[in-house]
Amino acid sequence: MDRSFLSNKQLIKISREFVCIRTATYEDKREAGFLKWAFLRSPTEELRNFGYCILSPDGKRKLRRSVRGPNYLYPNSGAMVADLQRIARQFSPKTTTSSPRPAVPRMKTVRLGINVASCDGLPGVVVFGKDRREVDELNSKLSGVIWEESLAGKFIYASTTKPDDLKIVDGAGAKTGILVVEPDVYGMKGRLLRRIDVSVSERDLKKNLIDAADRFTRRPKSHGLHVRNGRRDGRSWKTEVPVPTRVRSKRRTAPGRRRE
Amino acid sequence: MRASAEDCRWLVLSAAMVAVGLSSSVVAQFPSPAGASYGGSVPSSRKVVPGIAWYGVLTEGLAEAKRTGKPILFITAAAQCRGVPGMW
Repeated sequence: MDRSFLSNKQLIKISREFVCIRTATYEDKREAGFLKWAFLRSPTEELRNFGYCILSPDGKRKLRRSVRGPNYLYPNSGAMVADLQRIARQFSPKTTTSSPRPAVPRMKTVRLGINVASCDGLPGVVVFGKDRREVDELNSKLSGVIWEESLAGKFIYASTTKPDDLKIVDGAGAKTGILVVEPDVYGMKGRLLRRIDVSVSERDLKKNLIDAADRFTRRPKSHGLHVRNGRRDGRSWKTEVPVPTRVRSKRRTAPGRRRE
Repeated sequence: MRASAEDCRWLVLSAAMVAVGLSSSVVAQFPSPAGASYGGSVPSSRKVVPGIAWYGVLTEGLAEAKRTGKPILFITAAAQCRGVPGMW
């Protein structure tokens, strides 16, 4: 799957009819069991680095078989859009009154959030609160604005109450707030672009985030060069779950598909 | 004389290879990321544009799906390639 697959405008539009989950493989022991169920045919198989499938709303049933990526199931992103539209028609989303706002789609940790932001070439947003309650309040404000089309999918989120988590963010300091962070090329560090005060109104928060996204310049990367330079410079990422050593298949891979 | 023509060919070839190597190391910083990227969902634009909003924590995504009754578009992707972070 190349980036054009999932960045198709129609695909982004239909994705709003789904809850989109992208877990970071090898980054959570508890998630690993679910990933094995979702993506492997046999429990003895090792978890592979990529996987794609569609699940029912309760997460218990596969609506489409799992494959390495959407390009293994669809010839192009248009076909994927058509299939997602078919699936979406089968479900009528619930109208909820108790909690109308979707949760902030965050990463597990600040460290992982900054790495994923770098992978996507997007700015990160770190919610930094003095305690859980302040974090929840700030996330509640965020959830009120980030699902609007002007902001959806433009940031990678994480939250914390621990100042130590922010040691990797230059300029973060100790003051709480909503921090907009530029990840470095390897996603191992970040730089504070702006701090939005905890007292910010939702209206100003939205304005601030739109402005931050507009001012952000994405840094295109070449896959091969990035990996080659990273290995040469010793940029190494420690995963929570060990990455299995795999013997590469001698079978030829289809053109355009990357082997792992 | 034939030997020096051969030498000359090697010299030109080597110079060309060095030139290509040098230019690719510079140019490679700039081309759009159009290559394979299993986890990426962002177009190659230098601007930040709307994209898929991904839940990165499984339990939170599952809870949201249960709450809303929406089906789940589910991907797992390693946030490192051959141990190097910053690349799907």
